[in-house]
Amino acid sequence: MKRHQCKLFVCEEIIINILNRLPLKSLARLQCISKEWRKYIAEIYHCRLQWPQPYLICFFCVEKRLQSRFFFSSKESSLVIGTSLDESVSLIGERVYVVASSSGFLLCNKLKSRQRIYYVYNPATRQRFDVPKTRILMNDPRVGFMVKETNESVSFTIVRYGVHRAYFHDLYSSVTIEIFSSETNIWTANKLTVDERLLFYPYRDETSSSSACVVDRVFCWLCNYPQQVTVYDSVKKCFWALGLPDWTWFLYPGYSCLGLSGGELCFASNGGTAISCWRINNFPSRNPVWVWKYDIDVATVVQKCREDFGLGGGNAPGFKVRNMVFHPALPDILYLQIRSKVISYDMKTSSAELVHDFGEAWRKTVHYKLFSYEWPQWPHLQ
Amino acid sequence: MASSSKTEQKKMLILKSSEEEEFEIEESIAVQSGTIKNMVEDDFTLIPLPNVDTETLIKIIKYMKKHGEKTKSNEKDIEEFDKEFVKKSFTELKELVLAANYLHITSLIDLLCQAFADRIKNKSVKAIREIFGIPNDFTPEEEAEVYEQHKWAHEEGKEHIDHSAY
Repeated sequence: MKRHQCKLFVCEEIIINILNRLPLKSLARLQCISKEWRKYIAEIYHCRLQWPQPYLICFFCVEKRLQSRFFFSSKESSLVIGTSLDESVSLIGERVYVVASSSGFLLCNKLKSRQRIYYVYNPATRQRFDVPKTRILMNDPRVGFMVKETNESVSFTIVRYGVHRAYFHDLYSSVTIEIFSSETNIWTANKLTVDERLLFYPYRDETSSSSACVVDRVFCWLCNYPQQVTVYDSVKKCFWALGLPDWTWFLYPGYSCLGLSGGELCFASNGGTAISCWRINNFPSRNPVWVWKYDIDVATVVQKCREDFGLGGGNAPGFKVRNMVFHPALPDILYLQIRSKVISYDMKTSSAELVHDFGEAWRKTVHYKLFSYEWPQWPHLQ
Repeated sequence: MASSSKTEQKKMLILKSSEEEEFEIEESIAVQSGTIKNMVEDDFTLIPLPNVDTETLIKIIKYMKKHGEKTKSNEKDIEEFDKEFVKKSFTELKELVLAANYLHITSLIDLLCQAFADRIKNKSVKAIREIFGIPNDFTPEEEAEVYEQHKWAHEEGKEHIDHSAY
């Protein structure tokens, strides 16, 4: 007695089990199959959003503005399917370097465009928006990028400001700021007079987003000299400065980082022997208070990593940490680039995990910039 | 005493397929199936499985037997077995996954779903509809709209799309 035909209909549970094992590109195609499958696929995305250990997925590394590479962390990734990574994600085909990321979109700068041509790009959905050329030529501007999403659409804002390299005895009293909004589709430029005490001295190499972030339409950048966080409030349209909690010896790129993690502004500074981590949870109020959170004994971490991950020996372990970046959702986790490997360090449990091995000689990775990229869902550009 | 403990250890069950064929199997192996385990706890020794036909049941028993003797040393061996196990037609795989689902054999469900995923990953939309017997309930306009929204996924690498339903 053969079973009747309708048994060949595979049940919902199983279909979802199968779909959960497919890479994004396949899932995107299969939305055409039927209304039910479309619903299942949407459900899968919805489920992925609810994962308690979320979805920090990948890093970009920028090699001396020559090339951007995209790689994933190995765990906690909604892009890990079975045991392999979803390779259907790709980087824009132009020669760009990545400047910032927000809500699954990247802001890229076209090489050799004197930083005047930008793209907004989503590596998962391949949506691309070519931003019109900037009105003003700036020398090494600081750039901020913010994406806002609703259920229907996505809009974004790009802020860039430049400081004129004045004479040493001049007080910087004016700053040119240029803002692009996807809602108006134009750049607007303004010259702002700022408090003379707010001296701006930009980083020499701005390609790392571990020195910038956006909280609620308030843009922040780590400033080298004086040591502060330069803040631009895009609602009130003014600049102000936020002092740092710790005077550090070095504010070279890679030795400190600023980031938004779990809704809180976090700062870490590497003093050579220890990395101190601080947090503010009432930003962007005007009187924020930095709360010290952790001190990471770098020597121990490097030692541990040497044993676990073969990081090599040597002195001055603090200086082996080339780059740091916070997990965008879990403030207790800091990613460290040590030599040519990226480690995730959980400050609460003092445990380290290898996330990625560049597989290259250390000296080649010295100029890499890391920044975290989170990927909550598939937003649609306008 | 020795003989009674021996028979106690090797308690046998009988599984009966939908076609009324019976198969003897050790209880310790059969309880890899959650469904069977529950029935054993309710003191059944003859387990009727009206949802599973003979052919499929034979395969499932083979799977359970192999996985029942899992030790640290034969992991590679089992991996090889699993690989070969899923080299079947889609029809057979469907029968298997439905049976595994009914029998609650988690490891088998995962193995089969992974096999499905690996095989349909690059298949065309039409082929997948055929494989799973899914009617297209989109109007042509609706379908075009969904296609447009994810055009990149269809266009990129479309020469590698597999149109066969096998």
